[in-house]
Parts: sequence; structure tokens; C-alpha cells
Amino acid sequence: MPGADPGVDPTAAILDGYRRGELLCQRCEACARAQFYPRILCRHCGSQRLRLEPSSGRGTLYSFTRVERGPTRDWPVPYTLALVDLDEGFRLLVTLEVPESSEPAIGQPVRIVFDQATPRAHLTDEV
Amino acid sequence: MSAILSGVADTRVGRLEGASVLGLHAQAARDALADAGLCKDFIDGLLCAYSLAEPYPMLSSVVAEYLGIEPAFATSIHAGGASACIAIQQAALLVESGVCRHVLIAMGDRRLTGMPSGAAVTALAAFGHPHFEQPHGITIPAAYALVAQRYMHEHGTRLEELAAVAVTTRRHAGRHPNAHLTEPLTLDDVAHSRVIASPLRLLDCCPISDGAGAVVVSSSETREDLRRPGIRLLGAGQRHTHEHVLALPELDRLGCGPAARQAFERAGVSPAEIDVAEIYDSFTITLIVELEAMGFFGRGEAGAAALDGALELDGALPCNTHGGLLSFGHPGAVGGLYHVIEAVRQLRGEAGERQVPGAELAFVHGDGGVLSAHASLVLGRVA
Repeated sequence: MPGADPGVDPTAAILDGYRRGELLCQRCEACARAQFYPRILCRHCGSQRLRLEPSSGRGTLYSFTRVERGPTRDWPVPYTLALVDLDEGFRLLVTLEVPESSEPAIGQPVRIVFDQATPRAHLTDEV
Repeated sequence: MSAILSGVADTRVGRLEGASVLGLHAQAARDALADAGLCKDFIDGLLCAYSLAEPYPMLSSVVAEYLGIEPAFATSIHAGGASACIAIQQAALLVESGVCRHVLIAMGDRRLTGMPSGAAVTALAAFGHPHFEQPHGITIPAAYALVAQRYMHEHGTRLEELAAVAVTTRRHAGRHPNAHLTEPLTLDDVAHSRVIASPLRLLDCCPISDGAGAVVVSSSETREDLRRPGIRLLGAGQRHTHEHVLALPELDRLGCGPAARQAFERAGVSPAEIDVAEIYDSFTITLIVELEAMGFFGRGEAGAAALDGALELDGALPCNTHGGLLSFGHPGAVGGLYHVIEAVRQLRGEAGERQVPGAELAFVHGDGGVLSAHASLVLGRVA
């Protein structure tokens, strides 16, 4: 019996979306849950009936940290990393733009904005 | 009958200029065998981990080659800080099933003097997801800082309480001849150390060190051959939930809780009966999260307890009595093995100035990744 073919890895479609300035997640058609990062199966129920879905880019701040020491000595610092829970029900790790004399707060609304094919979180006043 | 931890050894930890990773493995192995009263020909199982400074693809085979042994079971375990406790569990399964009689566990690395400055931090950042974390500049301290920030928000843990963990473990390390960092610390020292990734400051983070260690796990059938009554593995547990910080479960669903519960259940003891605990402490926050999840302190209470001296030798739960990763040192996977070694010494009554009087039951915990892989052990003295 021939081996099952998982097809083209869905990571490429997500990264292509980034290049277009579009945030996509996967939605499982069997259990309706969202997942990120994309996989060849649903991590919740195991189904392979998955579709890509555009995200509104709106979410809330789950956590953040101001990093003073990057992964390499020449990595520009400081920068703020954040875990963001998107409204569609998935989570991203991104950098967070923090305006001068502003302090982020867990639970604060954020939106994802693309900058050079990279998603970044911006604080927003929108509820 | 439960497996016996029959021999232990550690090298000095810190700056070991001129040593080689294999030489360090071999020194610890040799010393652990001598501690057990065994010659190397008795070893029929070998468990190693991995090295960043000298990354052999098949490290356990290389160590067997270096030592001149031909084990009937050998492999390398890649589970970050959980590797050591997982290795103890694997070794116990091997001797309890009769596959092996004596399993040697040997781990070590030279992340301080064996790699260019900063290279270890860069190599460790590779634990992050290549597409969805690394491009954003994830580092291990940043990942734990994200956990710390959220944990403090949910549980009210304060920075001063994190600092208390660092101060206590440094005090313990001051009593250990092999420890990397022994200069006493104050809460102010920790508070004023530079921020690495908020809220974690330099002294909330363990150092990068050179060092190796080894443990021999023997079948209880061989106890007549051994130099001294060994320490028994009474119970063990594991739980794995994820790898990357972007997949972190809710903080009340981390794997340390189930792993510890399984170990306590199998040993037939409760957290309150533990005399001494050696718990993975890559960062001050790691210890606080684990102590609460595993039932040693209530939610939001471990930090205050640390500030109150609960983790000191005369406290309610003497913890990381060798100085933990935070001060004894962290060369890599062997960091978790040092917790096992210290537990064995405490139960044998060989901990010198660090001795918890009358210690009979010890708990050891290893955490790999970002609170991703958890393995717990309950150890006790042989009756």
C-alpha cells in the first residue's frame, strides 16, 4: 500500500502570507479549532481537514518582556517580545512596539502590523 | 525491588581551562565507579546526553569508545534539563527489568571555556522555533521572562521573592567545594544586577559553566558487590506538554504537577514528608513555579516562603542545598544531574556543612525546554 503523502508543508503558505502582509492561521474543519503554527494535522483532534483562514490581527497581550541581551552580541537591543492571543483563538510570539514612556499591560488589546514581511504587535486603545 | 543509586561523582564546576568534554566525562565516570566500588567492566548500560562545545552526533558511543567499555544498552538523551532525571528513570527501568546490572550515566560540557564568548547563548537560542520564534530574537532567558511576567501577574509573586531564591542558593553554594559561584549575595545585589529580559536580572539567571558528573544505577540484586548501601529510587514520574514558549500551556497545566504527583504516588509519600528537595532552577522563577505546581507551597506562596527562609538548611524545605544551577553551576544537561548527586549525598549523610540532619527522603526534579519536559524522582535511604 503506498505511503500517505502529507503534501506541501503549510509553513510556506504562512510565510508567503507574511510577505503579502497577511496573517493566516489554520482552522480545523473537523473540530473548528484554530492552530498556529501550521501543521499537516490538527493538534487538537488529529484531522487533516485543515484550511487557511485570514486573521483580523486583533488580539490581547498574554505576556511581554523587554530584552536587553539578544541571541547574538550584535542583535540590536533593547526590544520587547510578546505573546499575543489573537481573537481567532491562536497565539503568536512577536516583537511589540512600545512607544516612549509607555508601559505595556498584560491583557491590553493589540493589533498585528506587518513590517518588512515580519508581524509585529502594536498597542491599541480599541476594545 | 527498586533500583539503587550506587555511585556518584562530580567534577569541579566553573572555569575548567584546558579540559576536554570527553576527559571531563571520563573523570566523572571513573570517580563514580570508584564511589560505587565497581571496575568499569561491570558497566553494561550507558546513558549520556549532548554537548554544545564538542557536538558529537553519537555521544554515548564516543564515551563508550573513550572509556573502553562495550555496553549492552547505550543511548543519548536529549531533553534539556530533564535529561538527567529521565536518564535515572531509564537506568532504573533497565536494571529493574534485568536488561542491565549496572548503568553508568555520564554527562558534561564546557560551555564557558570551551566555546567562544557568547556562543553558548547563541547556541541555546536555537531551542526556539526556527520560523516563528528565532527571527524575532527569542532567547532562553526571554522565554522564561515571558513566563515570569505572566506568573507574577497571575500569582502576585514579587521581584524581591525571586531575589530571595538567588540569595539562598548562593548561600548553599558557599558550603560546596565544587561550586562555580560562592560569593555571598544580598537581595540588593540581585535587585541591582543588570536586566537581561524583564523582569529577570542577571542574578535571576544561572551562569554558564564547565563541568561533568556521573551516577551509577545498579540492580538491587547486586547490592552485595557495592561499597556501601545505595540510595533507592522509590518513585518516578514524567510529563511532557510542548517545546516552544509559543505553545506554553496555561500556567496551571504545566507538566511539573503531573510528573511530581506520579512520582509521589509511586513512592507512596506526600510532599510534606520530603526532607530535602533538589529542584531545577535555571532561573529563580523556574523554582517558584515548580514549587507551587508540585504541591510544596500553595499558589502564590513559594516566593514569600523563600523570603522567609523556608529553603534554607533550617527551613521547612531545604532546597538546592548544593547551590542549584543558579550558583553550583550549569554546564548543560549535567546541571540536572548535580541535583541528583546532591540528593544522594544528603541521604547518605555525606553533605558536610550542607547536611540536612537525618534526611531520609529526597525529591529531585528536572525541567527541559521552557517548562516543557518534566521528570521527577523520589529517593530514599535503603532500610
